[in-house]
Amino acid sequence: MQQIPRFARLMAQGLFLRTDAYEEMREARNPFVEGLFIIVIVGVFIGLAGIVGNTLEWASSPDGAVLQDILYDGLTNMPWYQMMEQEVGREFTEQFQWQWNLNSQIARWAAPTPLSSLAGVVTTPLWLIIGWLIYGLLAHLFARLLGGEASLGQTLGCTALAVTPQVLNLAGLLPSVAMGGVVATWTLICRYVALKQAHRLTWGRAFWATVLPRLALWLLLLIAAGMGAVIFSALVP
Amino acid sequence: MTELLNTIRGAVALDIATFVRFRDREDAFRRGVTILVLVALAVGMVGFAVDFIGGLIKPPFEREMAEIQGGIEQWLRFAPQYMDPEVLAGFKEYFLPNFEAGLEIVHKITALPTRLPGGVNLFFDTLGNWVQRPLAMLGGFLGYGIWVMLAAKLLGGKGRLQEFLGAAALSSVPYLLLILERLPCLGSILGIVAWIWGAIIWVVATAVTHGWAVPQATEEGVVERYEVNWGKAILAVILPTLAVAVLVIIGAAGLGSMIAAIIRAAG
Repeated sequence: MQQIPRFARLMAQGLFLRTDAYEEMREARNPFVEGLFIIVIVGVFIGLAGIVGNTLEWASSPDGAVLQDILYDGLTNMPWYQMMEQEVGREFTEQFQWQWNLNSQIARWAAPTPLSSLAGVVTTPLWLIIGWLIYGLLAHLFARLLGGEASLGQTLGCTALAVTPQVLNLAGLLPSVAMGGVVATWTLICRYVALKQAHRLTWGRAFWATVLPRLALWLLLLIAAGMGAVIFSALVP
Repeated sequence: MTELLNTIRGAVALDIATFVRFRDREDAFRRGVTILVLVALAVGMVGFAVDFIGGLIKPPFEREMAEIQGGIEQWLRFAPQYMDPEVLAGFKEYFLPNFEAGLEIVHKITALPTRLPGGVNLFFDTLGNWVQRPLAMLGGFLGYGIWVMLAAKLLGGKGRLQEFLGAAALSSVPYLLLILERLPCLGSILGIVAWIWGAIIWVVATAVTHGWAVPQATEEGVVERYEVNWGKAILAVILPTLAVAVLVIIGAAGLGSMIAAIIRAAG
């Protein structure tokens, strides 16, 4: 509990790219555990903010079922629908109905409710931890290949501070705010500072150590998607 | 507060000494981001007030519908000058009735009751738009800043990321002009002025933070003026835009030739 003010200071300094914060994390007794703690704090806060945000969105939205009825009546009474019904006939109405049912189910599933957002308190930190570990391991690998000096714990500790731009997601408390690319870009910048400081790298090497894990992940995703497509096409006649 | 105002004044006056002092601050990045956020909030405050009060006085849907219908009527008056009569007739026959039916659906949906009163919804909506502005500005600034930093480093720049981003954030100050963006005609002109002014500040910040502004001191050690290598700084600032433009042209040409090949192959 006594450590919380220290973590808050480290997070604020890390967010604003203060190298002394990353250095303090590098030299901490157990940077991995401290980093993990910081990520859990950030994740839980975002999850709690998500509950408030989702509740506000739910409260400011009309009843989903009534909305769907209006949409269905409106669409089926539109001139284009009438025209298609006359020209194409039964096949069109069946296709439309199928598509409508599918979209309605997705909309019902994705609609915000205060209850459904409760899970965010657990899943948000969990996803942040998974992302941090995958990125941290890859970044450590590339940084070491590029001549870095930090241990795995130091890499993970410093890259944990780079998660702090996620606090901007607290703006999601307001229903109509979309975050855009600011969190991802700021995180990337923090990661660069984290890896440069932790591994004592030159700017060029730190740059590659920062972007290569991303590129490697995209490459893996592409390969996985390609393999998935091949398997799917082989299974479907 | 005085220091902040002095920094803002020095930045808009393109005073190199102000940029040097700002660069050398330990918290240059935090200060820069703070200034950018304050500028964006100040600019958005007018829109927030206007939209919120306007929304309370007149239902937003009716106002929007009136604007849309006015726009269509205006367009229809000029369309015969440059549109094929057959296409225009088709547009009137097929598109307009569907469009109007679509508007009717939107009208019914916006009239649906919500759990929160309409005024509270409107408040959250306009507040969200207000908060959105600094986030969008910050995202654009950081995104472009990374590429300018990379270009500057490739051109031999010696600046640190924190100092550079902090000083470059001062480029947001001229956007204070956009407080008047809601004024008809003047808004877009002010936007262009702010953009050009901001771009010049980007160049000054790049020169100062990357060692391309060399102080010229007197024998007593007092800095008289700065000798600036503007060429490299300008190049670093415009290189990302140029690179994107070249990529877009290459991409468009590739896409065009691909579509042409598909059309040829299809007969």
